[in-house]
Amino acid sequence: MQKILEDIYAIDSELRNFEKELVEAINVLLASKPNIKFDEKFIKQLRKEIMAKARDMKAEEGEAAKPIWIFAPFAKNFSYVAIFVLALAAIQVLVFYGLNNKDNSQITVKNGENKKIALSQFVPLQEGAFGRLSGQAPSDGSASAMSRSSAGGGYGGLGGGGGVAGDSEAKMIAPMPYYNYRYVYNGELKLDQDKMEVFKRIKELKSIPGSEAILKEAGLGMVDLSTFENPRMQNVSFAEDKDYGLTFFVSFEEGTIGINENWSKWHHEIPATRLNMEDVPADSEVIAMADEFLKAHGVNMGSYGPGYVMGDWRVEYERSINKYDFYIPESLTVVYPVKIKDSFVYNEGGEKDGLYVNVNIKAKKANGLWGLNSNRYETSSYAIETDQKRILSVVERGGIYGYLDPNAKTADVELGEPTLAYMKSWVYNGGISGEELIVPALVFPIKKAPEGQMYFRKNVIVPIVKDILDKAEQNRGGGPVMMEGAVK
Amino acid sequence: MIKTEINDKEVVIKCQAGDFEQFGVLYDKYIKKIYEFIYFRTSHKETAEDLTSKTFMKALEGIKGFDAEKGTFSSWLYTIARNSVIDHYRVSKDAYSSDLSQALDLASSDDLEANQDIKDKLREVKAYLEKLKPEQKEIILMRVWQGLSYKEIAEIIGKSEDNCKVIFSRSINLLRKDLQVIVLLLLIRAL
Repeated sequence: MQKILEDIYAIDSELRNFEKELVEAINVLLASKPNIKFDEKFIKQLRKEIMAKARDMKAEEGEAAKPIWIFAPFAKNFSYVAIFVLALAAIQVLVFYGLNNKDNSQITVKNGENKKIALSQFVPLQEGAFGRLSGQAPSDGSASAMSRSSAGGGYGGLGGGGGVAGDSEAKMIAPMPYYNYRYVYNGELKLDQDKMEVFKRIKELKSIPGSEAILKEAGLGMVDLSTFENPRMQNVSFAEDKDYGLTFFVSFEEGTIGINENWSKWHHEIPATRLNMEDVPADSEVIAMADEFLKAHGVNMGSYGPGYVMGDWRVEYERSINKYDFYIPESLTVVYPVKIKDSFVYNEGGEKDGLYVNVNIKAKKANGLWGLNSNRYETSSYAIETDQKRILSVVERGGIYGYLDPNAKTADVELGEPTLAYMKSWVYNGGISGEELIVPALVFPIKKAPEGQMYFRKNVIVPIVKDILDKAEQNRGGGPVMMEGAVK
Repeated sequence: MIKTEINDKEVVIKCQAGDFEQFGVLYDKYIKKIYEFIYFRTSHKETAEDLTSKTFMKALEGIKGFDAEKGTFSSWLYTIARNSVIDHYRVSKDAYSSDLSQALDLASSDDLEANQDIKDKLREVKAYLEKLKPEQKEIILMRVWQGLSYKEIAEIIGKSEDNCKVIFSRSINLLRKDLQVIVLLLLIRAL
């Protein structure tokens, strides 16, 4: 009390004359303070969690993780202007920070070498925190358009850039007549939850502010960039100046890192000699090359499952009549499927989403990586559709973008028992940019593909969040989708 | 037994040196204060617990980045708590305000000692506080209810220490005047 009064008198000494009333006023305020009862159980439980976290941090500190191992080997062989030396040091700290740390619910597991690797991190929010998951479809028909064509046509879509060996061409047939695939599941669905978590990837890595030293250099004597207010680095790219060098790109805004070949440094034959099937290494060898690449550059694999080679091109090859003329891809792609809380994440086409590594078969080296994203998510619970009939009607047409033309020929495709997993979905608001969400979904495996078809689809995936099904229902009526293959 | 005041700075230095388990000392010191701080602003037990949990987790995870030259640990922790509340309101689409009149509603419940005079004055105090700007209310209640220093208050809300003192003094003076009127009115009603 005395301290409060002294501070008041220091501002206005005349108030000393009203000390009695000031004391009364302050006492009334003190008396008005609510008497909060503390939940000792909560306090103890939280302490336990905090101390567990502290122990984990101490243990990780002991591992002495090298910041941005992925970049360290590149640094030796770079030729770059002086400013990027400063940027590189800063990026090392920040990308490590952004991709690996600093939030609640860090789950760690020990790998075979007793090393702890951080998995995805989650920031729980209250229910419905992402608003209605029924944004407007993009007016330019961006990401969803691929999904529509892939989901309806029985062809799995793939995420990310960098090119996918062999599988990148969807076969299209003439629009008329249309053939339907009707997906049949004869079992029961067990949906015993009315709410489940939806995840929203926190895209932004913390970008570094543009330091005066960096900006002055970056102006290259043409302009004083330090005169711009509060600049922050949005993205940066580097290139290795060596044989078979690579380029890499960091987007602080999107929280992604991509790696590609530095094209001029790779030995491209012109014209290229075609490969034979004998030149294609076994999948195990390709995976080993991809694994080695990831290990050499310290890519944090805590959120990904074991890699497998995307092999749809082999299906095409086996079915091709003239194998001599068949184009054997020069690169193969290894997919490391991403997991969230022990469940795989799929794209809207029913293919597992994840980290992709491209391996150049001729050079026998990995030459690209994409899908390396920040693994921090906000989570919020949303209502789940429990009406089995509704879900099965979506399954029947092959997913939320599927369509069954009542006038077309139909072939049945039998589905196996579904598993509960996650699907990557985009909610567009006003068609400007999309929010990337990961939503609970049922994945129905294709038990038996239609015979005589060039049919690649592996799964039918159906999101089970009510909002998303509602919106898909509202948007339906776009007409038949280009179908893959033909029903004989 | 002589009770030794915990030196926050020493504990923080130990945490920053890698002895993160020392954070438990800071947790024990601040848990009830932070919970209270958040509860006054949310008036909801589960929300307050959730935000308190986030506050301490963020503080632990960010402890290495804390710069003791730029402010006290206490102010830093309260700032994290305050920002957590602001984020909470942003996500829930409610306008954040440091409107603590909800907290005052709690006080006018039966938790208070049965002092009719205080209760009467309290109702008028609440009416008076509602006339103040959110910032003025927040400064008064951080100073009186939570005993935070002006330096800490200034660091938390981003104003200068002198500014906070002036705001507090003027607001208390106005309350003093209002209370005089309140007392007079109460006397008149009693007649």
